[in-house]
Amino acid sequence: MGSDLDRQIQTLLQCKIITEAEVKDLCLKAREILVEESNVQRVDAPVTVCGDIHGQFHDLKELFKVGGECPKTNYLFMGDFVDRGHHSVETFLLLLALKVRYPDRITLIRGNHESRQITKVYGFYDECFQKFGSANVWRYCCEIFDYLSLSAIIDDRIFCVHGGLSPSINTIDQIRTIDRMQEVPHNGAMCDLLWSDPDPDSCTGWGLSPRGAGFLFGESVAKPFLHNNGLELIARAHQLVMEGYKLMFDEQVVTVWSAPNYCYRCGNVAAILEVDSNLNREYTIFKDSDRSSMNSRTNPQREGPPDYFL
Amino acid sequence: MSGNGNRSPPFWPGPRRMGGPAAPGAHGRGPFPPSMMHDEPQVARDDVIKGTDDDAIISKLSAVNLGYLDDPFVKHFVKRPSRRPPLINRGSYLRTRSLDTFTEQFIKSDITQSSRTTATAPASATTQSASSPTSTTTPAAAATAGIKKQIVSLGCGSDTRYFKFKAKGLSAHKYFEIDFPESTAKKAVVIKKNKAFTDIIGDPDLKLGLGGTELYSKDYCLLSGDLRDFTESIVPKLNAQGFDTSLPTLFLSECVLIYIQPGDSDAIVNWVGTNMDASLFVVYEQINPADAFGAMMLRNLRARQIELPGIHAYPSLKSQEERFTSRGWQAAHAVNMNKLHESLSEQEMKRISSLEIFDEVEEWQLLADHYCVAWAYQAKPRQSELHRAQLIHLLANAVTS
Repeated sequence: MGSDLDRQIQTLLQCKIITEAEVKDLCLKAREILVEESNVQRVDAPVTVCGDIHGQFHDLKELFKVGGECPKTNYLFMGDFVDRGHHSVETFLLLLALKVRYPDRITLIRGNHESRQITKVYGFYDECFQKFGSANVWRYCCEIFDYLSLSAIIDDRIFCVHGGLSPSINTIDQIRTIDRMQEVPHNGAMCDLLWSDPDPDSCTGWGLSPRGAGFLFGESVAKPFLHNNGLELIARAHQLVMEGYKLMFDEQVVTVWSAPNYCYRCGNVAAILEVDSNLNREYTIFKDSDRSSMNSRTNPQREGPPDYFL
Repeated sequence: MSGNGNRSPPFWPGPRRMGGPAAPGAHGRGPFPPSMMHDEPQVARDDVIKGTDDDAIISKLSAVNLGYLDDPFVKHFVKRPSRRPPLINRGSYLRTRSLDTFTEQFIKSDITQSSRTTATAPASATTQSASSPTSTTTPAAAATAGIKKQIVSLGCGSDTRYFKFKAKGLSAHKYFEIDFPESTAKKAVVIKKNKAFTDIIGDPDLKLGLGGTELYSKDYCLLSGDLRDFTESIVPKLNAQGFDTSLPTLFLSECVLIYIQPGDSDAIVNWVGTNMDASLFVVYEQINPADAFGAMMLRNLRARQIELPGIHAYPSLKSQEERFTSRGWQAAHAVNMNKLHESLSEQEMKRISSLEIFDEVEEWQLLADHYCVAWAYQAKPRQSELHRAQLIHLLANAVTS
């Protein structure tokens, strides 16, 4: 399978799309790999942990420049590959192709945007339709979304999830029993893992989320969860952080955000978390690629300008 | 629900077009010769500013179509509707709702006999920070019958506020709308040919004027002109249509003053402050140009040839207030959109939250931090103390929520 797949990776790396038939084939192969993965996928350090990408393809390439190419660097992406940015198709297909080509060197877990309902509102559906003339590619990708793992655990010590904790989950083993092969539900454990946020102001533990899904979880919830499960850190994504990453709860929870100048509008920097074989952690900050910002500004007709109130 | 594979989401996207409307052309192509006063690049910039109305009205229609706002008139101004992202819908809704609230309260507000207490307050140059204009509140039942009021919408674009309110039985004595002739010409055509609009105006003598760029009726006037020549060219037009400086008047500026040089926008504020017996000014526009988001906002807008010359003169909530208080207005207050958002009732928040998915919480807070609503009012001491107190009471009521 090497040569065809390598050619597709080369095409995607140039931010060009592959054919619908190739996408279909790629998704079939990916499915065979992902179906074998656990809801809490085991990952060995060293690994580089990344947050939301959101279709910012040129910034993903910047990330690889900063963090090293796959497979040389072992990667863990914590979801939200698609929506918002201009190149969700190229971004997700590239990551998926890398997954199929180097299954042990890249881990993809599901974000709340890897969902049929969300991608219809936030751009991936429209983008697929525009680039392929039908919704077929969107449909293939959504089927793959259902196969994506819900979380990962690095050397039994660092728990990685897109959103956060759930009041229905006390142990890592409970996550393993979720039937994940479905659209992201509107509530329940699976939904919470993908939607929740840590709340630095919480005194009571659990709070209502302004997002309308998932929960806010406080220090009094996060620390016992870590302790009870023999963990030292929860790494998660999901929330824009202007400085790229944000440590909370005595550095036991971290938000990693990997979409610089999010939506070509927010002016933020991005970060990746490099975990070495001794589980030492280092954060690397990077900015948006010139190409990313240039494209969004100079091709407003083609790519859609960032929205403001005018 | 924990359903398996929800294949038909309730939120079906609108027409499949990426992004917003096509950016406006870079050169003047309206039916009118460019103003003799401005050079070619200025004309190109003006054209882009006129295009911002198209963007705003498409956003407003998107918010209407999703149920955020109720406005049957907006659709007549949009040729190609487009569904906007949830945070833009929410912002368009908040902005409209906020200015609607001021307008409604202004129309409903009246002078009362029992506002005598304020007359004892120090008369001139009391630039109190009026975050609580309620200090003059008196029993509303004492309102005297219908004092005449005016509304002036500066750079009105395709705004439908006059029609929306009059349809609900709320109208001012006179409602003036002002914009570039290219904009008013388009608006005049839509209004004149639609019974939905002419019925609301309800004046058989509704007339087009000045080559179709103006509309005159008993209570509604659409006037064309350049706000940069407010004193010289707009004021005489207002006067010719029965504008009365002695009547309490609401001036609305929705993303308008920010597009013109501070010298020109200051001239408008100065003129209003000097010449109107009693006025309420409400401004909605961008702030905070200096932080990371603000700097990116200016860069992105510049790439669309949109400049915001006013943002550096009034970059903060405080400076937005001082724009008025430093010119002797009695009270001024500015809040950002996050504040407005937080002030929604639980019930209303629940209603809009149910309209569509909203997963842009942090980005929304950033964006909302860069837009503000500022209001200020003043009443001239040339009135009798009692009448002035009554006017202040009326204005204060209009900004009390």
